[in-house]
Amino acid sequence: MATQVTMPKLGMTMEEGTVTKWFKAEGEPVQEGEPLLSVLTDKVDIEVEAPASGVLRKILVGPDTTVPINTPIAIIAAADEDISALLPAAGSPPQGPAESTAAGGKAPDGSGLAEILQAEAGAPEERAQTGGGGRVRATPVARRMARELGLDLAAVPGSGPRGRVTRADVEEYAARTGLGTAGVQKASKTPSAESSAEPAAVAGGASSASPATAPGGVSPVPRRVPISPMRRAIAQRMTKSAFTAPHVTLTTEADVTELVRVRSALNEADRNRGGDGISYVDLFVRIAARALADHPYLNARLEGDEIVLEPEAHIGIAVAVPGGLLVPVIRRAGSLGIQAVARKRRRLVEAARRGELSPDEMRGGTFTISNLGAYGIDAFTPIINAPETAILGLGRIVEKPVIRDGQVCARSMMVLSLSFDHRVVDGVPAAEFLRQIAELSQRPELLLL
Amino acid sequence: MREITYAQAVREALAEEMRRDPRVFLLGEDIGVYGGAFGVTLGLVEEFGEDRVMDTPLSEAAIIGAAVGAAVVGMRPVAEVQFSDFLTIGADQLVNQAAKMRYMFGGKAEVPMVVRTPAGSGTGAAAQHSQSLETWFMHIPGLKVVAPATPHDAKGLLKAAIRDNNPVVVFEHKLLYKTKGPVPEDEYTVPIGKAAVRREGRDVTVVATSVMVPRSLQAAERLADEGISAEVIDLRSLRPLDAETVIASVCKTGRAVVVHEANKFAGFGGEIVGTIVESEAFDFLDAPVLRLAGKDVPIPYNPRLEKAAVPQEDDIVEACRRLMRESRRVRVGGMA
Repeated sequence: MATQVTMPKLGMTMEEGTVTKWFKAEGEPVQEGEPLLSVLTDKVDIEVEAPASGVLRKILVGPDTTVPINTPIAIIAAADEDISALLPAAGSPPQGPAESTAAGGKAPDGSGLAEILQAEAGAPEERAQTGGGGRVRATPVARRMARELGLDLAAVPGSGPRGRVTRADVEEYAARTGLGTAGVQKASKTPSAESSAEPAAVAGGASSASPATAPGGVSPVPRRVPISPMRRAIAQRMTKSAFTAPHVTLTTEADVTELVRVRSALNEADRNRGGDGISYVDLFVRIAARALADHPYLNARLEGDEIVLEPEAHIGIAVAVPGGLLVPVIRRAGSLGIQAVARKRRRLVEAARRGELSPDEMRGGTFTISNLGAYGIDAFTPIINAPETAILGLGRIVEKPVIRDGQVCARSMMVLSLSFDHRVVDGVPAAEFLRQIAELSQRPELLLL
Repeated sequence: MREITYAQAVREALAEEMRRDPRVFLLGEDIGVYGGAFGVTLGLVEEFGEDRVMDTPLSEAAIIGAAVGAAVVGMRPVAEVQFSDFLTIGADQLVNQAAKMRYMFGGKAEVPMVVRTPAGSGTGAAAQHSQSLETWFMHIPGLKVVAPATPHDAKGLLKAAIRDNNPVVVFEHKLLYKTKGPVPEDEYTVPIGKAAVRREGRDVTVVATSVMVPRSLQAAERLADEGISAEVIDLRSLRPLDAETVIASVCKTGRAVVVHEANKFAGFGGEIVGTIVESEAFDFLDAPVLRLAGKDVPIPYNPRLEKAAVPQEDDIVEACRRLMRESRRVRVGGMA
């Protein structure tokens, strides 16, 4: 009995997925439950297992192609089974399922396909078996080189068994993306001397580079670097947000002298109790959660003709990772104590840096905090993490001379930047929201109220 | 250089050491006029007499026990155990006495003795005369274990063993006795604890001992035709183990197969793999480290099954191919 493999729905909000790699070629036998392909969704690669045993007769959607969920992507059947009824109508582009669905209404043999599609659409979650949290299979040397190159292994296509990433895969990827070829040479070195031919060959690996590319990396022509799946996802989301939501950014300067003192005291107390410390971001998660509770329209999203007001604040934290940016979400931030926030934040940030976040850990945010203060930035205009309504940018904390009661004195000052979606809220309510955040960061004792 | 057989090389080592040092003597079953089950000691009783080439009763406990006693009082005995399978009978003397004395007497006792013994399958001698028990003795602190693969090393390692002040078990392989190889006529020894790189390669390290060394070298030759460059390491000594040579090789190749005749479960292949993955070589591994070993069964009498029970040349070739399939070499000249 032929089985159609469809793009699985790997999370509640997933609408489309990108095939990143097929682990099997057409004509190869597959076992039910065996990893069949990897799918990129929300910047995470997930292994999808074969839903049935048989022979992978036809791959309908090639690598690096994005299709909506439930789109047929392959057919598994017995070696000699007739699968013509399951194949897309002749002439419809095999990797253009949006079009093929549209054309399917007219195509005479598209009816069988459409029926199966509908029958299977009912229970897509059951079929969506993932490889478990998206941990990347890689050999030790591949891991070490990725570490040294600051490269995200999840982005490297693996050629080994079950998609295992090998040294050759990393070197090819690094050469293709132009990522620190010098680093590859260094990484190739082994304690015993190695033939000098290899590193040089890697340096010349970028196919578009001129043959005259110097080993030192001085290139006379511009280098073309294919973007990684993560970069593509970031590009799409940022473009969509920036050109869909009319952004307005408000800034205000807050006197955080007291917050600095409180943070220092909490940090010490947490460490004394065996914690790993409290960061400013943790405090602002608490502050934002409090302010969002009072300003529900900032904790909302626009959906068609309705604004959906979320009953709880799920706060995302922008985390820089090698080659990109991830936003893990601290769920129900308003109900968590500062230590619980700190613990969650630490776990999520570490998972993000290791590339081990699950899609669900990056989903369902209602508000985002982005912190560039550590990089010496005063103020900036963050882009909203759609479909959320607002994002808070944290600047650096600087001691400045300010006037208090007619006296010049030194205070710790910080600029807060709030970008909001003007479709959902207007300037005044957004300003009131930001003023409350500033107020709470100036007088953190108010958090106790 | 002249070529002689492995058995001749062992005999030369024994004769030279007996001439050099009057404390050296041999004891074992039928090693005198009969020349030993594999003819290794042929002719020695004529030169050295029955006092130094002693036929013993059929008791390995007595043979090894007598050797331990003689060694402790200043002799340098070389005991022959006719088949290494029978080491089990003398194991108490070897494990509980020979290996322990130096330690238990605070260094005041020395046990300079050698146990030579033919090991391995391939002669149709069935399950009780075909085993490879080296791991049993590798596990005992206080014993040294060597397993030469060539006539050159059979002579050099045995001479080093006889001169060592600790008990050394020398596993000779029945199938190797008739193999020929270059052996210098001048005096030499092969240091215990030093491996030899028999063939240099870039892609995969094959770690072998004894009869698996020539098999690995033949496999490497075939692999070279396919463009796979295998490095073959002959461990020679199993304890002490030359971890350094193995680790350096794996750092270079990033792939390793350990080949031995003894069955896999709790065999020394696991020890070698552990040594590799615990070391700096871990960060250079580009594929799982494989153990290629005998099947976990008693050695069958049926010749085909006997052959199938231990790794052959084809198996080594296939294991190396598998590693190369799983992790392609870095292609010279860029990517497709």
